[in-house]
Amino acid sequence: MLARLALGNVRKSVSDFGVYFLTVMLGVAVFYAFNSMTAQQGVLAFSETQDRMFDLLGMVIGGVSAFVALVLVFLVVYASRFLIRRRKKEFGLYLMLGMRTGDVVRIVAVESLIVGAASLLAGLALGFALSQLLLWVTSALFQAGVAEAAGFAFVFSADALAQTAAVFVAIFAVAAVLNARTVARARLIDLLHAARQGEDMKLTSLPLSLALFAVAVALIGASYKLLMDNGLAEPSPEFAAATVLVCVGTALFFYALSGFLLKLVQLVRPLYLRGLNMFTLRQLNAKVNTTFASLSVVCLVLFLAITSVCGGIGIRGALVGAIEASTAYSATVSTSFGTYTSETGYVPADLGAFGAFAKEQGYDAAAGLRASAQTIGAGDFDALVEDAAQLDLLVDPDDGLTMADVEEASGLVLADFAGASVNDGYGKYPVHLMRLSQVNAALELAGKPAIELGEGECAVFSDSDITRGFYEQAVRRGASVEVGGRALKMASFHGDTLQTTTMPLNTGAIAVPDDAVPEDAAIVQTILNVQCASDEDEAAFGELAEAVSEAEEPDTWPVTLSLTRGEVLEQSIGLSTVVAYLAVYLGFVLVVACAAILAIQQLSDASDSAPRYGLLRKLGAANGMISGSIFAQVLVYFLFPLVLAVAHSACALAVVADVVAVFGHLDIGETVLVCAACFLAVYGAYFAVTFLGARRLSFTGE
Amino acid sequence: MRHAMQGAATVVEVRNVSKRYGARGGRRADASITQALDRVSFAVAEGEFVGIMGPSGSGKSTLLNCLATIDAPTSGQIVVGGRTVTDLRGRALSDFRRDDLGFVFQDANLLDTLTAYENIALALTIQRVPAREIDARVVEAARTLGIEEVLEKHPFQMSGGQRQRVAAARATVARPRLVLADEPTGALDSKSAAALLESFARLNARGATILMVTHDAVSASYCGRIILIKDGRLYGELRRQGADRSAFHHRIVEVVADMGDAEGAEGEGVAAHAR
Repeated sequence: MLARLALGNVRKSVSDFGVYFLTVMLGVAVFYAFNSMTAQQGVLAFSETQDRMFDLLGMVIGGVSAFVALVLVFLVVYASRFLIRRRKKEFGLYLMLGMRTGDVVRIVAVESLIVGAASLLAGLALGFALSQLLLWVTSALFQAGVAEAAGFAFVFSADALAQTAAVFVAIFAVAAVLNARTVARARLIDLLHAARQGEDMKLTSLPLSLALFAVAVALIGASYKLLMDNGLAEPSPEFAAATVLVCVGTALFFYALSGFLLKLVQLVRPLYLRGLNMFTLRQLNAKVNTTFASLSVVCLVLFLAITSVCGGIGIRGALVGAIEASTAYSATVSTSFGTYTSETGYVPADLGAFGAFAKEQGYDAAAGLRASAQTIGAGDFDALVEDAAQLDLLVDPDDGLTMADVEEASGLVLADFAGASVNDGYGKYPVHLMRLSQVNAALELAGKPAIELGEGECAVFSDSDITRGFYEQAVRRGASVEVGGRALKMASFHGDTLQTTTMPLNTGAIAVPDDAVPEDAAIVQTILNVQCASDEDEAAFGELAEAVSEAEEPDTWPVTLSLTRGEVLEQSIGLSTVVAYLAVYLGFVLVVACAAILAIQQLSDASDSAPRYGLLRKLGAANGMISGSIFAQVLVYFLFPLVLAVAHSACALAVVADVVAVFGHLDIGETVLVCAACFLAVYGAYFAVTFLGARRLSFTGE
Repeated sequence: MRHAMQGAATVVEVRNVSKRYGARGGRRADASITQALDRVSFAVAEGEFVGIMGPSGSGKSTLLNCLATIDAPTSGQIVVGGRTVTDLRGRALSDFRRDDLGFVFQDANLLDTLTAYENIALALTIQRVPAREIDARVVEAARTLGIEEVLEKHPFQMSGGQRQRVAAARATVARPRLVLADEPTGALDSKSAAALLESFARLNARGATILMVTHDAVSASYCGRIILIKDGRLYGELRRQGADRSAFHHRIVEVVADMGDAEGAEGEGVAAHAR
């Protein structure tokens, strides 16, 4: 009997349950899809490193899911409270007809069970589809093929299924208990007269909200400026101030927004006195006291979501984009022999016996490695390496070139180009010299054309986004630098990365004709680039270099760092993919949360305003006119937090781009667009459900 | 009866209107059927101020709802301004309410979020009256009803009488063919009620056609003609015919008392009072 009543209720008010259903379904789908990701390991052909990355991903997602579950508990409880509130009168009627409180509580519980089970099943179905999609994405991102012969595999995780079901059953239980408490505690008189409550309204002075709006915009502007000027380089008081300002500004913005809109439109009489415009604006203004707080929170959470997703994916894109350019060689083995700054001058590194061996080998890295490998029996250098080229970074120990020198010579200031992403002390950093012959050999090894220098000319190499613009302009100005007493004109700029590395970090080196290198120039770093015939040889060479690096025999070549192309690919792509996945997961959940909160708030407002719409109909306002007014109200509530959040994110991402410029170019590209489209689709679905629901509720006030 | 309205066009014509609640269709002898209106017919000429009176349950509210197109009669026709409103549907219906009717409800039913000015202007903006005309018309309506000083206030800042006069301004500002008032003084003290009814008389003098449902003899005495309804049937009508208000009031009180006595003998008193 109770079950039949409950089923009937659900069927009657399907659209009331719409937001609840949508929220639980999306929550279940995302929760399952991301928690089932480790199951992809069974299907995709991963390398060992990728396997480890994926284990890490699984662990991190497990941790984050605890947080996500909390968000979902809040949402489900919030959504079901709205349903209960809507139906207080109905419950009051049941009680008046002599039903026991326990029976009503049971009806509510059975209703929750029906809707919960339906949305759980729908969510799991959507989750299966989503996890297939994620499988393809992973396979593309990790460049790992599907192991099955057909190139298609169904990924299914019983663990994730059980976990999802358990979490949501727990969430439903919590919501059911809270609902039961609400119903059980309510007094009959309150239930029956529920509609009469909460109709008091406060007035905000319009000139005041105009002033407040101006202050809000000023605060947000000031915060943007602080952030732009100071960057994210390190935690600073300015950063904290910018955070506080943007929060206060956002809250003020939403507090004053409706008043501002009202005043603005009132100035344009023909617009204000048109159709239901003044009604719409007054509606928005009347709700400001109850809604500005949640609008601000929604805006800031959306901002977090947008920034983390765009930032996460963008950083991954920057890394991957830079990788093509920074993996021109099968492997690179580099050795540091000293450092130079304008303050300390040239300081040789203490390499002990290894240093002596290097000197003995004439600083020939290939010869040194070959001999070392033989000594410790690590393999045959010549069998693995097809071709090799050595590049030495040199410095004139008496009068080394520094960034400050280049600035002086060109009359430019690096900070003008790089913004907040450089620290103050950069002027003392060295600009190394390279022999033209070695540079051309390295270029040739990478399959690139050699460069030519005329008399009294040099070429600038820099692969970092921070310095690129600066040097290009310096070259355009034809600046000359002094090397060993000779003035050399900067004739050309090259962005090539002359080694294989995870991050292109060359902030400037100058290729000079071999005879222009000072006699006593010291080697700061030796870079040996090699090309191997196959991936197996490349991996074997990596092991050889590793063995030499770890060898303790005195007669071996000192290796500071060795990297193969394969290692670079796995490290950069793997780690950044984990970050990107997390960002998307969290971002998606947060967007769903925001949209659900907005939807529920709008629906309960529409329910409260139903008598007003009834009156408008009696006055002869056509249904289309009323729908238009509701559309405008819902649109304002969905659009303004989004627009302001996008503005906040654009500012934050501009700053993040400066930071990312250290190792690559932040490109908010295709992937971000796809993500944005998905998010907008979810947000749009909530908007549609809300608008349709609110329109239907407007008919209940007759 | 007809000749009395000669020279003025007929605004409302109620022809044989019946309204039955309960089981639908032609099931005979169904005890659950309630006859709320039984073959009611009358007409209202342009510029009249007509009161509809009757005890509770007489069907006067049903009649008003049918006139307001909020409810539809089971049989019969209602013609307003030459249009048979009982045939109107959907868009045409809301257009009719918007263009031809003005409402004053028992509780003013103003939008609490809007100021008095905006509540009055709403009737015009819904009609898409150009903004430049709106201001003058709202101010004029407010002046007629003596509520100029509350125009910038919100409903909760006004007295009940002021709210009701704002509602009257809203009902008349768009110059509808017919103003319907449903117990407009029901929630007012006698002083505010008198002020409101005088406003109605003033509006009527300026040409508004007003149809007011009331059970209060004092309110009814402001009308030019009273239509009496009892048990869903037309009981009779009273004309003021230039009598002063207190004399008319006495006549109304008498007839209403008669109506209460005339159990089972409806119709008899009608002729006597109608002449």
